[in-house]
Amino acid sequence: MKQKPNFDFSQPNKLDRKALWLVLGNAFWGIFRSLWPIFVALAINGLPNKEDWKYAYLGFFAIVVLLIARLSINYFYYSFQVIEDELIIKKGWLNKSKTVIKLDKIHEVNLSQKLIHKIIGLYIVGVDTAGSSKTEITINGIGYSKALALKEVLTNTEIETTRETSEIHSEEETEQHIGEQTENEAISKPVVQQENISHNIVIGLSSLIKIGLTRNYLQTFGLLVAFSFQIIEQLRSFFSVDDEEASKYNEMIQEVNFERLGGLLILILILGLVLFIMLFNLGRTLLTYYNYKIQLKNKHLTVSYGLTDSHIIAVPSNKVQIFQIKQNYFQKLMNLFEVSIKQIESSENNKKKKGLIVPGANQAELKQIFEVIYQKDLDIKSKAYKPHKRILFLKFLWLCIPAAIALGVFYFTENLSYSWIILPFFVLIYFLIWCGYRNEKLYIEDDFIILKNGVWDISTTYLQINKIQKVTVRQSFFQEGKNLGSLDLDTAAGTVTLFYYDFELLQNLANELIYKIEKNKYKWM
Amino acid sequence: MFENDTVELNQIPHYQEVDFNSLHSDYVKILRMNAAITLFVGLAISTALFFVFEDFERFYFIGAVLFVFLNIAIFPLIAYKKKKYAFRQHDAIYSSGLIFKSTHIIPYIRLQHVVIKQGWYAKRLGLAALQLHTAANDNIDVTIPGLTLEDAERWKSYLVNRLQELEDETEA
Repeated sequence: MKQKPNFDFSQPNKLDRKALWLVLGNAFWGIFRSLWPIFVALAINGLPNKEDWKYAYLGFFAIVVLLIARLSINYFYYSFQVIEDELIIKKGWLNKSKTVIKLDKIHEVNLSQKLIHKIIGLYIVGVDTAGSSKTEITINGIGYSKALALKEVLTNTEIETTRETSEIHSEEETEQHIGEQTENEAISKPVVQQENISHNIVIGLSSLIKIGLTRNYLQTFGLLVAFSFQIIEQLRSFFSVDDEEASKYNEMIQEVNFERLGGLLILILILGLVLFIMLFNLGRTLLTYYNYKIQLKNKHLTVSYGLTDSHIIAVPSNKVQIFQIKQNYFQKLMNLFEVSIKQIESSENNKKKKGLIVPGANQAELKQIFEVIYQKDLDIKSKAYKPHKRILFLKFLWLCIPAAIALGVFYFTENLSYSWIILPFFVLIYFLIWCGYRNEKLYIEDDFIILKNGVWDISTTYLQINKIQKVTVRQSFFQEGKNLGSLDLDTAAGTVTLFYYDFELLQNLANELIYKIEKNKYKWM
Repeated sequence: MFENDTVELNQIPHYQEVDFNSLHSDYVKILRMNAAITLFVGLAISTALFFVFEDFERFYFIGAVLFVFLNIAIFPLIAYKKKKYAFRQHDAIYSSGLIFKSTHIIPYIRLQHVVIKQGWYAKRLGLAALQLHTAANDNIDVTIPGLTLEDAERWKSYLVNRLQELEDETEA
């Protein structure tokens, strides 16, 4: 048993005292940011009369006092408490509001810190519920140990059940007694008996640097392509003289010059850009994921990371919807994986919730994480299926559309002599598509659908069958002859699409999946 | 006579062999109404184009616009016959699509809520659509149109009851 300060959440709890400073600090920063031009103007120009200064001071003073009063009222009338299985938050002095959340509806509790929180030493507790984003709640400003205790209280519903089963196995106690005990413990001293089975994974600085240098290559490449057009255009306008004045011969010479000089410059620029983007990626990775620690308690994942803003996120294993690992060629050489653990997406702010990302775990650590979540081995034992080859032809046809459009543009702008540019792009993109086809593989295990795909970053998506919400079998008129089709597996964290596989396989798979879900009455959360 | 049929290892029910129900015959009236509105809009745009532009080339544009709108109007009138639904003991199946066929299967234990929707014209005809929502993203949920309001309500109460039953079974 670990010694922990006792927090009583059954009584209304206030925010930490220092949180008032936090709120005030934020408010003053806000005022300063919006009013600084006025201050500057006043400081430089001054006011015509000395009398007027008085009013200015008075006005400013009044604003500040009102603001402080308002914020203090908000602060003093804010309270949170946990009664039985509900989290209750009360706000407001004249306009009172009360928010009640059932604990079993909470699917994630995370602690985070902005820079200012780090200075003062307080945490924000964010509570995510399964409903819409409107019901999401933040408790801004409580101390570390209290925040942790609150987190445990809020997430202890699972712990209760695991504890119950383990105790029933070990000693024959009466159910009533266990019920009482857990209830008491839940309120006063949550989770203490879990400490026995816990591993820690720390992602060191060297792994982070390696990952930072090797991730997001494709985006970088895309950026490069997008920028290269602009660079060429810029250079052209810089080097070329007015067309009308120069004769044709001169123009040719200039173009040759441009190609020699410009070529070198472009090379330097591109190299610089690559370097810049790599460093940028590295910096961002280090900043966000510095000091990354994962704690694996039975069926719980607790993660903490961050240099300036820190986050502590707890993920119960049964709330994980999709497990995805990514690896590119360089990362394969270094035995590093990028893991993303996807949870429920609320439909309103999809972009905000990308799920939990573990940058740079090695094979052994990956295995541990996977085992904690699914109690199963990561290795794939079943045989691989591949999409039908015709998809290459189909994508060829799709690729012809932009090529034709580009050709059309060249034709109508009378630049047909440049149209050879299309060909290398066409070949390059088709090569990438071919790589994507080569990498795509589908594995069907007893309780998992595993899909490998990707062009450069090869991702392996593990979808547990009981997380599937809905199955859609698709077949187009054109696919009927070859007996092909596709299958959408919709989950709460997005859709996994099996595109262009043998239709019979997909139909059988759909039947089997539905059968398994219905027969075993799997829960998805 | 002695019989010894082969026994399949796991006799999993096939969704392909289910007898589907077609939509109510009045549903086509709604589609006709929609088609009429679409055509009207198309014609309006064409006439506007005819008067705004003066070159001969405008006829190409007008032709294209009319063609697109005609397709949008006519297509559902043909495709609606392919819209079919079935409720099994454990899941709802809805299939649709003339050129791109799709079959959605939703197990009842994954249902979050069921909604009945009625447009103004459907209300006059006494028709309704049944929406089945799961925890997956909202835009990929299934809507079964062209049910009579009574049927929709009965199906809804069936689904809600069935959901409750299944939940009780899991907890027991």
